[in-house]
Amino acid sequence: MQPFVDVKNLRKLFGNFTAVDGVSFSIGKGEIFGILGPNGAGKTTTISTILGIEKQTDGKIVVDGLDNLKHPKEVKQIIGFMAQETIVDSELTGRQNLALGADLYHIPKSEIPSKVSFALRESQLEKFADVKASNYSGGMKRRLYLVKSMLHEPKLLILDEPTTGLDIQNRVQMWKDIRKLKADGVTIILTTQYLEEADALCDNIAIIDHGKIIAQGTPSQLKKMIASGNVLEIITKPENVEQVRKMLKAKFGLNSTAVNDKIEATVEKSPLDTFQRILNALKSSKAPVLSVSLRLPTLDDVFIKLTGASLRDAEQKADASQSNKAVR
Amino acid sequence: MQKGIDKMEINAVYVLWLRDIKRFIRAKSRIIGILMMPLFFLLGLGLGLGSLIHLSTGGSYLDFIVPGIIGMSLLFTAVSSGTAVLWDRQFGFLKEILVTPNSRISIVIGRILGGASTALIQSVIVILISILIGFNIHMSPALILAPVFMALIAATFIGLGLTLGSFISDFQGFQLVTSFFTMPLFFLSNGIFPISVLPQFVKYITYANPLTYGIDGLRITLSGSGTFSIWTDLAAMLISTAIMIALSAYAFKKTDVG
Repeated sequence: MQPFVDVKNLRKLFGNFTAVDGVSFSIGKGEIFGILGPNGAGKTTTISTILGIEKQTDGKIVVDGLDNLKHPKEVKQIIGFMAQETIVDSELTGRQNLALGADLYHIPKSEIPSKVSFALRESQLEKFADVKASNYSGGMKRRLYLVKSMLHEPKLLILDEPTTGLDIQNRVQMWKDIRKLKADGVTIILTTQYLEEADALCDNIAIIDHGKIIAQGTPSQLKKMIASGNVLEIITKPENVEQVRKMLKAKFGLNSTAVNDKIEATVEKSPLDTFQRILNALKSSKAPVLSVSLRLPTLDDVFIKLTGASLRDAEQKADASQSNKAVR
Repeated sequence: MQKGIDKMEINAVYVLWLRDIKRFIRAKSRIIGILMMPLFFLLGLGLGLGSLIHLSTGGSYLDFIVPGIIGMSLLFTAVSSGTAVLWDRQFGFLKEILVTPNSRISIVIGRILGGASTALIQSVIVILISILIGFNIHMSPALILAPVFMALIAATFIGLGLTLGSFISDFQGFQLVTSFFTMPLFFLSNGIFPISVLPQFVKYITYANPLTYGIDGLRITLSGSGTFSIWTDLAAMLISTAIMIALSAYAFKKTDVG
């Protein structure tokens, strides 16, 4: 079967800087596809080229059988987009915002009023339809924005970090909304920095770093990539880290990694039994133990395994370089 | 198919124009704000300083300066409407438009028409206030060309504002650069004094300034006398408008979205 979205060897250069470096993926109809990676990894540039905001330097993008360079307007017409920031014109009312969006997608004039009232109902904003959007709360604006993106009934919805900056309640609501759209048959691409979000929502995930896809698959396939065992995590005092690592190696044959006061190792065989014995060994070693845990691997472990840095660390580094830029 | 797309582009231009009008009507503080400056100029220069000035060309100074003040307010409003591009970029609205099936040129034209319309409304209000304080509007068939000159002045300098707004990405820099352009454009025109009183080399500068022809055109159509012929003024303004629209469309094509 032909995929609904087919991206082949996508490359995008800004001057000498390669933002996207040979990315390929395909998405089946009705799937939720997650693009996961830290800031500056190339997530936004990848979706910007699919959206037609940026022109690709090289490579091919086909959406619903249409090449994006040959049929730019037709492709744009079947895509809906929700950016990370909530883009609502606060000088206009909710109703006017929706009408403007409908007009820009060339929805026939006669259909606009009914579509707008449907969207207002859907977003539970009927009571506030004729109030200026500057008086809306953050959650109301976000809901208005989502229904605005769906007004022209796109077959493909692209969500750029849909829940970044939302509180828990609104995030859960957004997840519900996304699942509902999937149930309605909409194909969805979403970018995210949150592993649990990708895990909870996506059928397939591409992990992207420095403009390249470093791993791709279903959430469980990705987790299986890093051994089959469980992750052991011990937090001790920094001066005892070496002692504990040596003990793990000598008594249990476990290779461990350490960051500051945190030690991690993968336990492959009979994890519970081994865990028990490790606990006893720790007790008799007299090393101060602040926390011990054994858990199933998460996508963050996949990310660490693949890039050598945790997603959060990469995030902080990117943020730091960005704020430097801002200061300059 | 081609025809269908053209119709869509016209629709996009109309929609973006309408957005500017709606925003203008809703932002009451902005309407008052942009009327203040021309009002102070009318009172300070037109009535205050004007009572001391006797023009060699005859006629009252107020009648001379009202078209100049209209030109000034058009210039300032138009250039600062280039900031709208900055705001649109800041709040993502630019991205929001660019993901819709419309070309960038429609976006530029919609913006220019929207800005020109609001500038025109503003000018009409300034004229009405001027009449209240003693401006003698010259009734002649040429009067119907006055809005044309206003629209052309607005379009030329919105083009300038958009071009600057496309290249400059921070607000403070934009304020600086716009005043770097608007102040000389206004003072080195025939806005507050006749060209004839200027030294020769300054005259050449004012001849190269499109605002000179715009204000001269307004003077002919509103006050009844000018320096050049109305056709010279009209031709100069049409050329400058065409150049500035082309330039802003080019700049906008190159602009970053993020």
